Amino acid sequence: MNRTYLGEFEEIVLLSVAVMHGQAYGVMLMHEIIEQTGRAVKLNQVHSALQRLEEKGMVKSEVGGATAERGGRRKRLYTITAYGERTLQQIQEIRESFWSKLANAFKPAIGL
Amino acid sequence: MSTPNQYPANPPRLADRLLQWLLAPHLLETILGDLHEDYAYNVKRTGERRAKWLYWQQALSFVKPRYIKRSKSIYPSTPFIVPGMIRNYFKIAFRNLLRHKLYSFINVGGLGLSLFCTLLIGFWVRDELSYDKFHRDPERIYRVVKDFVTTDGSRTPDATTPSALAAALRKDLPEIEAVTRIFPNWNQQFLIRQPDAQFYEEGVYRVDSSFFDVFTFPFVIGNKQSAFQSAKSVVLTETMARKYFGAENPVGKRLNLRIDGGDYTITGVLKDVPGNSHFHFDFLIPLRRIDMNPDTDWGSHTFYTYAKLKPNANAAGLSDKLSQLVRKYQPKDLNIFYVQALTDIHLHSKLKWELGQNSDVSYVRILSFIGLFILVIAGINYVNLATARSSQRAREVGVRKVAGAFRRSLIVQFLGESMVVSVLAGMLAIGLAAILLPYFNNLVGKDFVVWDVPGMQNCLAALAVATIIGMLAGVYPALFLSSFEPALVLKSLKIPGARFSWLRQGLVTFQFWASVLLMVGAIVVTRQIHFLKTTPLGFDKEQIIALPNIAGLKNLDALRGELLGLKQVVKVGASSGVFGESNATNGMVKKGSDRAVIVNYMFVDNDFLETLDVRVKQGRLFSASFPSDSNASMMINETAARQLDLHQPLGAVIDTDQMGDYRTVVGVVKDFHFTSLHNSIKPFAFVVGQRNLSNLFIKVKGNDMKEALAQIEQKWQALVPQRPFTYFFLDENFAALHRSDELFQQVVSGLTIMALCIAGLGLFALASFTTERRTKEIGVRKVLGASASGIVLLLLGEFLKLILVAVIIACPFAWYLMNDWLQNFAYKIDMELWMFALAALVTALIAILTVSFQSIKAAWTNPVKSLRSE
Repeated sequence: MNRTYLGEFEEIVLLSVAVMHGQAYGVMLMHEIIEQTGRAVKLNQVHSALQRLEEKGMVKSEVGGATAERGGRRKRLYTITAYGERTLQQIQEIRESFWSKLANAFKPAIGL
Repeated sequence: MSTPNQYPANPPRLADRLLQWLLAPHLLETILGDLHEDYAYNVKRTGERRAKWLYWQQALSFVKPRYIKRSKSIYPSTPFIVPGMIRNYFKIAFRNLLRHKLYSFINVGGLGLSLFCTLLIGFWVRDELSYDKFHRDPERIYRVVKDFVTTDGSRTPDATTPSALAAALRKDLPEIEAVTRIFPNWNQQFLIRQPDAQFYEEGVYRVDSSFFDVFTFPFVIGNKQSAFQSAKSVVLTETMARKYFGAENPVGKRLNLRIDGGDYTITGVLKDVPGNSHFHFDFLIPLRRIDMNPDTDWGSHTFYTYAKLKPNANAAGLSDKLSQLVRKYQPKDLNIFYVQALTDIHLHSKLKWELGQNSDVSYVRILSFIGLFILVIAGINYVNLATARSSQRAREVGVRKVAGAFRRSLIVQFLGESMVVSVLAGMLAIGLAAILLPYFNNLVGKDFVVWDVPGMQNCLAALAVATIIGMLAGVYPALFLSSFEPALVLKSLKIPGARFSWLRQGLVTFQFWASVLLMVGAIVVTRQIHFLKTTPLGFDKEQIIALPNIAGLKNLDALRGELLGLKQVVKVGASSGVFGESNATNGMVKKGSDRAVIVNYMFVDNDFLETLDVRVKQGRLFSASFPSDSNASMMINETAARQLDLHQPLGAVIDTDQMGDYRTVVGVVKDFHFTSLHNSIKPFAFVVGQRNLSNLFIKVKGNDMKEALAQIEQKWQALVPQRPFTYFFLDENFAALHRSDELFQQVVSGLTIMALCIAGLGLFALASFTTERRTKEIGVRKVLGASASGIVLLLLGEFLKLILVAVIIACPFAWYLMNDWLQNFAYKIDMELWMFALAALVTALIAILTVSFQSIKAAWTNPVKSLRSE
């Protein structure tokens, strides 16, 4: 497989970046992921995932506006790149193809 | 920071501080921003306490290499070292040196002076440490010595051994490679003659032919195999060869040594004995003689024994074997034999009958410390001055930074500048040393030169030390100067370095501390040496001429009579020894007792005690009217009477050699110092013995010593033409005992003065800079009505505070150290309060003089002048 390997957490972060349409930054992403997945996510995990994604070229970032809560510090806003989108799509396709082969997928087993 | 009323509490500042310090700058802003945002959210959700706790958790989880690693700059960085910039740094450095002449003078001069002192100390210390290391395998060479033990168990460490010991060692101990004995001249002077010249010589050693197997003294002519082929061979040093034979080759020529009759044939010429050897000889002759066998004589302890061990032999076990070995041959011998490393002798050995006066390791330690202190004081000067005048360099730093200089390159520049100063100082020190070494040599009695190999090495070491000091002293100023924010210093909003920072205060306090310490030391040493010189010795050493060359003289009585006929001569007496030199000792016992006491003794004639004015306490002096005095009487000092347990000393009978030579005590003399004041007074006895007399003491009156000497010489020439006339003055001879103490005092005082000068210089410059910085403040104060004296006091106060602290810290140190030093003396001064007070006062005075010169100038300046320049 010639695409770059994406970890599971990275995939989730990348998905949430894609979902947030250019308004994604550290804390926001953390809260979004906590909300969506119910996991205990730490800020540093998000930051390191973002760093890795940026190194792989799947997201790009720019500095954005500051707010008073941040002590006047600027945000770093992340957007997904075309490469990132394609990678997500590939992952999705691979999964689809597996799911489609699974004819009788996990029916709730109710013993009668 | 966010406004407090909107967000009631800020996140823990310490955590922020930590992150700011640790995290990579390019990540810091977003991470901190996110953290703060999360914190604000958490405060609303869970309350402040929990939010703070969460904040710490979140913050600490960022302490990871990923966030700490700095990003590579995308811009090409300026190369660290560019020839053009280096040239510019040097140019600026020299311009600065030339522009601020006082500052440069103090820096280069002070540092140079201190390096000079340290260099001299280095020469001396290195020489002291190099003693006896020039031999091949010096670590394998040992001297066998003993503790002289009497029947009651008292021990006297003593360097001499019987001659049979060497033979026993050679035979019985397989780990020994070579053994040699040395029989020195024992104060005897040898009249050495060749047809055209005759001189008295002292440096005549009798040695075994294995001498050259143990020690390394290279031959110029001849070799060690041929050196002692016959019993009448003599090997001499180059200097002696020149003295007796000029430029001719002396080998094969004959010398008359007047020992054992007859001529000796020269078989070899040695290089001169190096100054850093504890041997001092000019002639070596074989120890073997026809009339006695040294290999079987266990009786006379007049030999030194040196042994070279085989490689890997165990020296520690050797001492144990020695005692067993001696017991094997001499079952009754009580003495305890042990070995000393050859290289330890000069600095660590203080036995009776050393071959010459040894030094002491404490001198080496103390002087090294003083050298270090002086270096540190000069280094502190540099740090203080460089930071104090930082405001003058602030604009330069600003401009350089604006023009693109990195902090790194500024650090290099300022470090380089301090290195320029220190290398200049190092060269100054070497120059000074090259010029002044002869005077130093004169003082310490060595012959150091700059241009031999060790001298060069010392100078190179001095340069290296200079560079290291330049580095160390330059680090703080370099970091400090390079830290200026260009925007601030260029706008002149804040001139850094104006305040009297804690670091500078600490450094100045340290300087004062070291100064007070050194000064108390110098005062105590000076007082003690003065005490040594002025303490009454209990006998009169003034105006006494000693003729050391009368041993075995047949017409001694005639000479004595002729001398007494001279009008300047008051009294003439003779003895076997000289006060101040080592004395013969015996274990002596009171008749009927079995407790032996070690007593120093001297053979004298009837007039000796009166000539030297030794006072009688009880009984009488020796006299010709008591014929029994010549073989059955003795006199003792008070200590001897006490230690021999004589309640009624007069008439007591003493066995003077524990072999039955009984003598009756006819008089007790008052205690007197027959040796240096390092030692307490020991038991002493006088016995009459005409045959053992070797020194004649002549008490003269009047001021014309020269005339008296001339007359005495005339009589000598008439009566003893066969011997050259030699003499010494007893007081000078005795003073020689304290020469090393006196030398120590001179060196310590000199170095203390140097240290004070250097510290004073630094203080002067520092005061002038701080005062300059406060010119405006002083102007304003004056306008508001401050008096000149008030301003001077204000400026002085800062320094006086530091002095007070320094004195308080220094005094206990000084007390402890000097008390320790005084323990070297059996007779010593007490340390008194005034010594500390004087040191404190002098330090304060120096500070006041240097500081007030500046502050008075400032206080008198018209405020219009200082305030107008806005």
